[in-house]
Amino acid sequence: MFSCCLLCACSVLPVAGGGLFIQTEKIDETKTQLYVSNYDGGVGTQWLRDIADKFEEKYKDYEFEPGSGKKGVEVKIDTNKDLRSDLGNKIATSTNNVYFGERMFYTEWAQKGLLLDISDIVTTVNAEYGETRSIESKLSDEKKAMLTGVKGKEGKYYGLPHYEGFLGVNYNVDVFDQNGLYFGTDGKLGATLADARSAGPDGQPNTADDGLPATIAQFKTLCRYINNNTDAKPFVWTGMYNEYFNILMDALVTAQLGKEGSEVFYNFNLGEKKVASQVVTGFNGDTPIIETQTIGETTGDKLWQLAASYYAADFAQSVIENGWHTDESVGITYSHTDAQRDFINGARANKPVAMLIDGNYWENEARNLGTIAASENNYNYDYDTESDFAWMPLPGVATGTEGTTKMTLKDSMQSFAFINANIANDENKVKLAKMFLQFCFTDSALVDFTLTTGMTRDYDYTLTAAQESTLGKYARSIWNYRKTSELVNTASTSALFAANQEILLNTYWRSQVGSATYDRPYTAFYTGGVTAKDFFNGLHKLHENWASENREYFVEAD
Amino acid sequence: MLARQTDRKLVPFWNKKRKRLLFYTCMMALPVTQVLIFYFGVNLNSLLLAFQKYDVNTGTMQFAFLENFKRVFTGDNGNATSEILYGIRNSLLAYFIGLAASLGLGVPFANAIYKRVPGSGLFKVILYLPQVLSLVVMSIIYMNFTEEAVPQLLNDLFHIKIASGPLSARQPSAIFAGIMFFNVFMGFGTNMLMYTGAMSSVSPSTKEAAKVDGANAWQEFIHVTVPSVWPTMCTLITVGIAGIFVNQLNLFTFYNTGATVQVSSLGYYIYKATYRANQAANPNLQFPYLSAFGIIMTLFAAPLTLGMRKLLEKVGPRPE
Repeated sequence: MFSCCLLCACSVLPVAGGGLFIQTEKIDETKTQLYVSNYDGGVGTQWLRDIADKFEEKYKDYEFEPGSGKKGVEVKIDTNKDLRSDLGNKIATSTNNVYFGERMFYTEWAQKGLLLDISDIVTTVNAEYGETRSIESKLSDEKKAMLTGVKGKEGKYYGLPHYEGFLGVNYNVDVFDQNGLYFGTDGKLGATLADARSAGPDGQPNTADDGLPATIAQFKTLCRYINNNTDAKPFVWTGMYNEYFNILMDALVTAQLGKEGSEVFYNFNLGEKKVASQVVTGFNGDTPIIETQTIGETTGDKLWQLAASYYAADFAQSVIENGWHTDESVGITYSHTDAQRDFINGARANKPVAMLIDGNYWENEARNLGTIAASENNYNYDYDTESDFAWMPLPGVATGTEGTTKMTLKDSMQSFAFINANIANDENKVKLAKMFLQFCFTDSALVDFTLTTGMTRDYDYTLTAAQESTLGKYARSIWNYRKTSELVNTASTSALFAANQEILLNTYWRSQVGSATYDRPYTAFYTGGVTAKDFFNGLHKLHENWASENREYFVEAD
Repeated sequence: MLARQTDRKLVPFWNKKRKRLLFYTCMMALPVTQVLIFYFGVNLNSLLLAFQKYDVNTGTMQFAFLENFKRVFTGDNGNATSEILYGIRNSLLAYFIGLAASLGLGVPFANAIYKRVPGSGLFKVILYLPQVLSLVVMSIIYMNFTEEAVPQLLNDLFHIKIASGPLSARQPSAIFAGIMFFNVFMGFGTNMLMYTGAMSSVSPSTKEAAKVDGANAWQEFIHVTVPSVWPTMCTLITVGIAGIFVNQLNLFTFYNTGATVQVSSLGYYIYKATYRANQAANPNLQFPYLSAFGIIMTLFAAPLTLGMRKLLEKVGPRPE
């Protein structure tokens, strides 16, 4: 009987969740607590801590729980407990009240009632915070439509956009300058920053992208030149997370499609305006035969036959086939922070790298993890004054010599801020959470966020010249491109999109070549030795039954 | 105190037998509840899920009859059948390689350790160490050793420059070889533990009798030791059959969801698909298909496992 009791006791412990034995976090019992979850992968937590400190100071004598004797608020920031897309399974029982994160499914979670209605704080002007306009008035019309378009809950706000995450290519300006990697006005490589350069991808002279490859053909020429004629390697990316290689292809597709062409993925031309797309209908040898077609719901499979996708695949395959990358990029132990480190150290470590495939958060991430500080210590220099990195606008034209692309950016991070609906019955907590959330989106808070993290937010706000000058060179390049670029509207109310969101966005590049189905282009090109043409043809093979499989979601006939 | 009146005397209701019964019931309540919920409940839910599908328009689950089962064989929306075929091939290959290593090397090694040959203590430590350390830790050690340490050592000591270790190689066969080496090494210790345990149970009188009959070490091994551990070998062979359908070969630990399709296994395919589904906006879109896939695998695994067990019980050596 004794051993039975012992056994029983042992089985009870895990069920108790160890609550008896894990030390609970210390709190200030004279204050009201607000629990905030922050995914700090790219942006870090400093910006939030700064806001929280200001909020705590402002309300240090305020009674958020009348009659309890507590004055002031203590903002407890949790950076790990609830993460990203898994949050949907955990949020209902979570102790966190306010969330700032990425890869969040705003529409789905709002529909399920997981997010608190915050329409009141979004639509009203809070003069107490020095505001002269509401948060709503700072949002674009597209964003407003997206936030208030939750089916069954139209017209209400359940969250706010947090930060914009752009995935693409970043380049080392010093490496480009020192090796003459800019295109001159004669269309040939060899120009430096001091020389007259070509107009670049946007086709406009005297803009930030002057001298950068204007077409994909020029991009290949650049990479070939770097690899064969300089000590530098064209690209570096993380081999540990080989899905990063998709970023290069996605960014090239977005650049070629532009804003409206990219939005066909989300709206299937269901609106009044129909956008035509360049579709590959066959091949003449290795040359694609391209036709202009309007892709609709019933012909959604043609999204896997876009000419833009072919050219992106062709370029990516060239990168792998010709070794236009560092040796480490194909190693499975090579993490994204290793890639950032080697990109930063570059020439100082006698291993210069021209371009890094990563998101616009990479520099902030490297700073937060100490990578930049370590580089400064190892090579005895000041990163902010002696390094120059920039966001690289990619060519939107496949061939020729001139770019004609309006710069396009796509926010891929699905980053939102919202309040947990599980506090709905606690009036005091709701009031506190709403006050804090509203405080995080004042004009000054938006500016501070960008100044601290170097990342932008999809709101109408500006930086003064003095504030811009405090941004690092990389952050300034992001800010400038954001101002002059069109932003792809990634919102969709289409049931067809909702049913196929995974394959349209996350597994778009899955391809069947012969007997193998490759989840990622990297494995297809690197391990499979697949050609770009076969890879491209394989994209569509997996979606040949699109019309029959999605019939129930079609709204109107094409 | 309640009592029942019998013909002879009053018996208290809470007698010793009832108290004992109550005690054991209370003690068993928790584990039984756990089994009911986390085994029967989960599996029943999974079974029911296989016959449903998620309607994006209404946000509800609807009856889908055998639609999900059909998708497993025909493939659609990127759930290509070819990845499953690679998975079957690699899972079978992994099983037979593991079996060959276990029987061909594991049994003789276990015998050597059992006989306490010189160096057996060292072998024990080397082979049991992977069982003591966490699998994730061992994977990370192996990954960094093969991908970074070995190429660096080869370059520094012998001036041989290799592009990468096997796990980052361009050839799927090299990747698979690297994966299999790790899996065989990791499984070796467990098998040896089982075999040495079985060998310890061989009756000394049987060994004595063999010696008296003039059997040498090899004959003793073949005619006494092997038949004695045959039931253990049968167990491992049978359990391995079931493992064909769930073994992900540690691919997720090495590659997360990025392993190339040529090295995929059935276990890795379903684990990866479930992981991805869980990360998606609407996990319910994929869960029914994955449930159907799991049921189909069970329909293959169950008769195969039971059939193999029956077959092995009938054949095989006997110590007599």
